[in-house]
Amino acid sequence: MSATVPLKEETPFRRFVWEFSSSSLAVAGFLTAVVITLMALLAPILAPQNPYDLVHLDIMDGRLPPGSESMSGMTFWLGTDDQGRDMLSGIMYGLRISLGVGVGSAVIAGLIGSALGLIAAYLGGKTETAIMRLVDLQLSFPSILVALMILAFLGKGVMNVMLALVIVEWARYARTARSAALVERRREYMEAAACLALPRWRLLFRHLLPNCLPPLIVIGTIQIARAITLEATLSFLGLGVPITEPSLGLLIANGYQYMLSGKYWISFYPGIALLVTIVAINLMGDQLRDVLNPRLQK
Amino acid sequence: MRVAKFSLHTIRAIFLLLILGCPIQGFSQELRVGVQVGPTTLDPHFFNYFANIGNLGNIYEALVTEDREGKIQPQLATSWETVTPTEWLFHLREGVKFHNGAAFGAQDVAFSIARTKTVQGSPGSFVTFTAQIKAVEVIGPLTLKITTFSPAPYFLFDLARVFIVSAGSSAASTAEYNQGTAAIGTGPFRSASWSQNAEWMLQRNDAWWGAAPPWASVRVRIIPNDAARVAALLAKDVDLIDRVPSSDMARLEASKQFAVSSRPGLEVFVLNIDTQRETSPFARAPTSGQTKNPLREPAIRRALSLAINRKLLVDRVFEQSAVPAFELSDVGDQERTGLAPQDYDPVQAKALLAEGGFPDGFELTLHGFSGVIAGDVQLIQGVAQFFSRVGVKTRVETMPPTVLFPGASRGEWSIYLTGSTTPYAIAPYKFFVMTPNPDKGYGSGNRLRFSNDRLDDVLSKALVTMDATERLGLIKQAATLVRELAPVIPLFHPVYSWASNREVADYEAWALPFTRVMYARPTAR
Amino acid sequence: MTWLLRRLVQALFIVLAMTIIVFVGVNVIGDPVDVLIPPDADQAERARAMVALGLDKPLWEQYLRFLLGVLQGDLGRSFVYNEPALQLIGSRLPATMELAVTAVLLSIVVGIPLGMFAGLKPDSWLARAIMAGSILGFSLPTFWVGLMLIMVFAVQLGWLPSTGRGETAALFGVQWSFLTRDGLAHMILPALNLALGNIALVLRLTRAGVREHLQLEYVKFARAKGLSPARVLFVHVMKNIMIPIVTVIGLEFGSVIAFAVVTETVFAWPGMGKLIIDSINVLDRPVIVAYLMVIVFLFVAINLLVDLLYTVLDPRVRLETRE
Repeated sequence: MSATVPLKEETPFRRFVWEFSSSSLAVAGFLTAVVITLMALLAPILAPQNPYDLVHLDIMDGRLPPGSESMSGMTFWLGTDDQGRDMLSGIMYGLRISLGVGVGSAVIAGLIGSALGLIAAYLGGKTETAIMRLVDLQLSFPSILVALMILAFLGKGVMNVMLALVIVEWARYARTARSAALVERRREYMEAAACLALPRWRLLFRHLLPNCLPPLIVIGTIQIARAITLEATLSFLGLGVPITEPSLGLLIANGYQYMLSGKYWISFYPGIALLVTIVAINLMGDQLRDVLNPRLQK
Repeated sequence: MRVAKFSLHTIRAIFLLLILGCPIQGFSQELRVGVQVGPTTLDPHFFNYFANIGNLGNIYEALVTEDREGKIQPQLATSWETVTPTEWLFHLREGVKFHNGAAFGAQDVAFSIARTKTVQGSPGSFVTFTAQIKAVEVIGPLTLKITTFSPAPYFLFDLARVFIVSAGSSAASTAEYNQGTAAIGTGPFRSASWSQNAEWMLQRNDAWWGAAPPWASVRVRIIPNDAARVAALLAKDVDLIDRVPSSDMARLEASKQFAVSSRPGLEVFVLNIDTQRETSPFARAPTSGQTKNPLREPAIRRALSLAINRKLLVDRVFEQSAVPAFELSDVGDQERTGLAPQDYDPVQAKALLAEGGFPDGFELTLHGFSGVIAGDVQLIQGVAQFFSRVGVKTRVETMPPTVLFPGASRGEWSIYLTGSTTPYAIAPYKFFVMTPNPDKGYGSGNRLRFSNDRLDDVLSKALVTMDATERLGLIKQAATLVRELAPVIPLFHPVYSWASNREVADYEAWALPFTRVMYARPTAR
Repeated sequence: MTWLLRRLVQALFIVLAMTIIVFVGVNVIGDPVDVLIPPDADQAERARAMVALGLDKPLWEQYLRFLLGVLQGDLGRSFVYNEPALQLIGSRLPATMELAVTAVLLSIVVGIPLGMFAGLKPDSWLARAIMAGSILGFSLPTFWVGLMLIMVFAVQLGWLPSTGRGETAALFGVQWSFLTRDGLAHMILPALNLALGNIALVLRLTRAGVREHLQLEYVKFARAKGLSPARVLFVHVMKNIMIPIVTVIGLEFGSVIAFAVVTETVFAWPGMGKLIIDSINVLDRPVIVAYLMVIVFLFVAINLLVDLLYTVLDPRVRLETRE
């Protein structure tokens, strides 16, 4: 794009950007999310310490309040946990896990759920009934219960948490994809495409899917925030990541026992990081819903 | 509820006053205790578990017992002599009665010893303590001769674990004990009611042979959560708690309201190492294709031991609640080897890693337990830090002991954290490093099946040597061998702490994890 | 009546489906021997137990045995407590129930007035603050809010106890916390923590309902008739917006019980949520299975009940379903 293009020319993307930025809160959310993502991605470069490499931890630095200096002269701006882990670095690396698990599971669940939803809408009949019954059953149980059930069967671990999140989330995508697809199906372009006798899969994924994307993106954003919360909760309950590689939830859990003796920072700062992340994503999600999906607006 | 109970106590107290016609010291005094672990059964011969021995010692007694330093003292036997190295003559206490009024005598001891061998379905048998008994001979109503298969220098420590029940109760099953109908001992308290993992009510045994216990009744509440137990004390819901977590020690010690008493415990926590297998599931060289178990090399194991700065680790993690362990039994008033502690030496550790064929270290996962003592999870991570620093890339996984130990027995881990009580110096050696032999009770804690003939020789000899000096020499040899071979790495001895509400009671700490309510002294009001 | 029957059959079907899922989860994904035999059993004992438990039988026969056990209320014995698993869950149920009920009551008592205010004066700064707060109520992770509640009210201010159930008193042979002062004090923080999400939900529903109904004809008519604004609001509007709110609260009750897992862990509240987490940690699978079955049953029962109530409350639904 060159600078000579007149600013007023309206492309769909520009209109989207313009509409999105009409809410300053959403922009703030977006910027925060960008910063957090960068922090997570660049943690190995930015973080003062590798909190997962025990060589860099010194138990002598354990439970230092924010602003303290380590034995080797490093400053712990947010204090340390009981292992002498720099909380700031711990939070950055913890965000990596939280975002990784959250986004990863949301994407996988999104792919599976949308595909099933589209198939249900397109094929109809028994297939649709079967898929949607499953969706209803799934959605009638709270996410934490389903996740607990899966972890109870499969045992703890990051991969099992991911799997649990995917199983918890796919149904929402399926429902959204189906309802969007049902609307789109009746549109002229679909009829036209059908008349051209294009193969089914092509119709489904090349024509129907792109038009169902906006509501799916909206759901996806909110689901990422939900997945991050759920991962943190499961880790807090001790069912997630290993103790030497804590995510935000586990960092908070580790600090729990020291809270009563006034060492608040071990739980407090990771909590703030978690909170800011979730709120930022939710703010974005709210605005995305308004912009992308006028039908849902009310 | 409370009101009803109180009035019941009052009525009972008045009733007793009328009958006995004498004032009862500490009128209707109830002591409320919060313990971490309650008894799992009221059958004294069903499950050999420290919490059972600790709790049941309030209602049952043995021939001899350990005092708060862990030394043997007379209890139902007033004196004893060894006729020959394998023959023991016990003179029993006169005038002792069981809670049901039956008189105590030599036949009850004989019955109780026999019963340890016949109890069905025991998860941890008391036979460990009676297996060496060849014969029990009732010589008189209050005289008893016990013959052992071989000389047994630590025999009295074993007898201290065998609680005496009445021979008249021979038909009683474990279930009847648990219902309370058969839970009849000679101790200073009797069991009034028991609901597992919740509450245990004790009533004073007014017919007890010793000075009257200061409490008319004792309510033992089982509060496993450390914070909750402390909270209960702070809220004055209980008057005395055991196992004070280190994080709350300072706060309690500083307050005028509460008294804290601590003593290093006769218990040792160690890392148990997979020394035997060619390949081990959680220890391997970082280069792929190399599957050799580095832990088979004694040099490597010694390196790991030298890599840990125990003093610093224990100070940081436990503060006042543990002392470093450089040997298996360097605590309390036990037989000491006098060996100089072999402390932290990372340079030497690295040299030993090279000597063992792993100059660049290797990858290792430590398996630890959680929820056993406050700080256990932090400790194992601290150990991992020290290993990492000499080049052994270490990860940590923690789990409850009910998952850890069966896994260890199945050989699922390479190094795991474990512990043992050490009533006498050689006990942890017998437990951890002797080749497992269920018949003799050797190596019960040697889950990864370490075996060394020389060590077995020295230890089995020490276990039958009556001469104290000679025995100490053997223990020293064993300690030196363990240091060389390092099948286990001693880490720390916990410090046991009790805290009480000063307005109600004082409790002086024991070197064993036993809360004997009899010794909680009421404070003057 | 056929409608009721159909719902009952549906509910039964869901319970049956869940028994299959739980059974498959335990027996196919997990190792049934590990599930049903204590981990410290030796080889001979394992082999004996395999036969005794029928694990050598084909899968469908095992499932029927399991189902028979469920019907008789026999879900195995806890490895850890050596008590029937169902009995264990039952002994922890009252603690969870009183917490969940209190949380639901709290969400009504707090949520409806706030929501009505926000609906009546949507542009006031207070209403905006309430709505902003409700967003937080949705997005804050329960466990972290719990920690913060403990930190502020128990540690810093020292107003309320931090953990445990406090003193209990017996009613119908069951120990309850809400009957004693101390128990109530212990209940405030966990109940608030558990209620938070629902307060936000009830608040938003009430606000939306109030706003919607204030624009409707009947409200305008009632006002024109000269009824006092208070009467219009509290009698007429309330009556109409209560139906969806009651429904949602009913449906959410199940979620509250499920999320009690988190709250109970934070506040060391000895309910069945705490039990299930401990059981997962120590692999006490009979308890896990029993918990899942109990929860599924509760869920289905609640949904059924809410459906029934809804039909009774709202004649329109009744008509629709008859068609």
